[in-house]
Amino acid sequence: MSTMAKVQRQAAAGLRHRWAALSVAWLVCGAGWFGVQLMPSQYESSARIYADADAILSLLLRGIAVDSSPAGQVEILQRTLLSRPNLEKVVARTDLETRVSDAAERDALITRLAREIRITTQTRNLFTIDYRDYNPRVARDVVQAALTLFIEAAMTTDRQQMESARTFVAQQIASYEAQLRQAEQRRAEFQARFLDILPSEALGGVSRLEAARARQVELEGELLDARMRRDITQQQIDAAPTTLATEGGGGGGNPRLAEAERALRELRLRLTDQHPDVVAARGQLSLLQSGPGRASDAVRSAPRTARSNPLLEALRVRLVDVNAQIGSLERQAAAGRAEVERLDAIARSAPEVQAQALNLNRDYAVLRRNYEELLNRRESIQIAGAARTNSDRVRLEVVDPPGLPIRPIAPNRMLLFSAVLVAGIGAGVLAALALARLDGTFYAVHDLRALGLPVLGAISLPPGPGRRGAALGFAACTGLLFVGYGAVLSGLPARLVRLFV
Amino acid sequence: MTQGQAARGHLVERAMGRMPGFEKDGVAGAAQENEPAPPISAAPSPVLERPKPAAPTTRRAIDLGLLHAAGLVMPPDKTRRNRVLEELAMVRQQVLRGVDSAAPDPRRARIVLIASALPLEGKSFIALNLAASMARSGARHVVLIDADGRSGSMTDLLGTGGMPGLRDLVTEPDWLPAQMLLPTAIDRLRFLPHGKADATGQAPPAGSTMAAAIERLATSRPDHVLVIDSPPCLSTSDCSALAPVAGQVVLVVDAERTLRNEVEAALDVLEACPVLQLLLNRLRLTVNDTFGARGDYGAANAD
Repeated sequence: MSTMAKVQRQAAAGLRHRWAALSVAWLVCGAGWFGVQLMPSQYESSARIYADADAILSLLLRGIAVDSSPAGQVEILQRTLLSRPNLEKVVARTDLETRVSDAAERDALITRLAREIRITTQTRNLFTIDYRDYNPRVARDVVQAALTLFIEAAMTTDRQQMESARTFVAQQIASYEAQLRQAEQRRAEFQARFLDILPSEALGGVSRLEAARARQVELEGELLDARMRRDITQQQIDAAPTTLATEGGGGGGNPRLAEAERALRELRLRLTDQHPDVVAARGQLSLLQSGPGRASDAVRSAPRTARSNPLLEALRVRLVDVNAQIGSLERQAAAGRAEVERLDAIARSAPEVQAQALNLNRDYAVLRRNYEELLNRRESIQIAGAARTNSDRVRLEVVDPPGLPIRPIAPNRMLLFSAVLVAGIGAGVLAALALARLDGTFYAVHDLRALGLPVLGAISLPPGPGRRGAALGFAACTGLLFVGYGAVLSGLPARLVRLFV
Repeated sequence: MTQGQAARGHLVERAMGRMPGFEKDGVAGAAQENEPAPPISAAPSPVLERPKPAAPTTRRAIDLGLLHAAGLVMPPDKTRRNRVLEELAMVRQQVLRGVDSAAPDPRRARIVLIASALPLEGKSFIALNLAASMARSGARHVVLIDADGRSGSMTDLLGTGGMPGLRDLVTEPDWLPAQMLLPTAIDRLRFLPHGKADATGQAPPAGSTMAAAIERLATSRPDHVLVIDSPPCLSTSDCSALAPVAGQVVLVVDAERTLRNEVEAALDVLEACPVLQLLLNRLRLTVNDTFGARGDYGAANAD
């Protein structure tokens, strides 16, 4: 028997059971369509929110603390939203409350909610909250409740974050303060110990040793200068003559007389000759011209012609001064030298002091800078907190509020109806094939030969009108199945039910 | 003589008379059939004097219309082959081969039992057509015997309900069968009705007696092939009684209806017969190895 013949035989056998197959198909389709029609519609409500959950902390801790992954914080927010207490709140706030009667049901409902409320992140800070339910109002309410919880959670987290930031900064400040104190103490002790060789503020940033050395150099220089001056003064003293020869009165005259003449001239410029003052001045003058003054002057000038040299006197005085200065400078230089030696010895005994001092200073400076920074931050937190509590700045924005869904999103009835039709036809075909396999009738001579007896042949059945009618009926019933599919697809049964109920 | 019988008002004859076209063909068939009959019927002449059975002195041939109504397949015209006729010819040739084969018992080889497991599988159709085909094809006399006799059987279909037949042959073993073999419109084909349905409530004859009667008939008609239309094997016990006397059994299987286990049960019933053959009837499926699947072959008649 060829393959084609086998196929034909199976087809014929199946065809013989076509009515049973059609019944099965009708049964499956009818039950399936009914079931699909009975399936409750699912409505989905969704809301979109913009949440900037990491604004504060990142603002506060920029540059100090390591960036603590804002995305992670958002995720924490998401997770905490679907915690059990929150979901219980959701149940309590919506009509879901009426659906549960005992604890087990409530438990199941909350488990289901945790699974079915979906929070998805669209972009970094944009979330959608979705929920499906067969009641559109419940779907909307659940999303709304979740949204409210989300906002509340964000707000409390915000406040908590603020609080935690504040405590964090306070802790840091305390810690830095302690460190700073220690550093300061260390530095003071160090400075007290190595005061002489450490640069000090009082000396303009140089150490005592440096200062002493500079001073020593200066003193040496001054000493050298003073000695040089002494030598020059000595030379001049040696060179200067002891006495000085004078030549006459040299431009003598009586100064009182000259004065009197000048006063008279001035008076006569302003006054007449008869003025008493002019008269008096003229008397004075004449008195003087004839007075003994001229005689005394001439007597006194005569012995002065061989007097000692005044320059020499002055030089001698200066020499004495210079010698005194040299003595003082020599004493000072000796003292300075001793001081430098002493400081040098100290410095040599502690060669790393400079490095230590540098370290200490640097540590101290860093600590101090951070400390001051933190103090500033604390102030800014205070200000930010005040601003938030006062102006209630919203960092959570509802982009799309949850709406009341009108169209059911699931089940996809069209698809399911079609699937049921396919399944029904498939079941029919399978039933036909199964029945064909199970039935023990003979479709061809070949089947009969299997009995092992001689087969005379076969008498074929001429086609009759009855068979054509049956075929027509079968085709009509099959067509009716598709008509039923179309009717179900167009929603006719639902309309009919609405019409009668 | 026909007119006289008709006036006497015999039931069957009146029924026959009402059928159109019966008269002419019947007369013709009867005229031909009369010829070989006398030598057979000559011996038991005293039967004719018996008053009890309606003496079938007038043997009106069963006409073609009745045969056709009973299921005889007729060629649509002389120039075209008919598929069913071709198939029947195939069966006939094989059956005749069995009849002609040198069986140990030649008398038995001439008895062909057409059986089936269930009613309405086409036994009568096959029996009638096979017998007609044999009669038409060659110089062989064929007797078609209705061993079933229920309403709707061949006896009814051919309108021979009231006529004496097999049952009478059983109850009256010495009655001359020749009187009862009704001629038909087909040459060399005679029909033995089942016999009168007894109004007196007599029980149907036992299978064994029926078998004995058939054997007697075969003996009395040495050159005749006896085609027996039997009752369903799974309904009566007659089959198992008839099987031992038959030379070959043709078990008719209704395609797409009779189940395999039913066929097997029927074969168990018929196992007394040495030659069991199967014939698929009402074949619907035509596949590549089906006989006649390539359409009409030629214009020449199968006969």
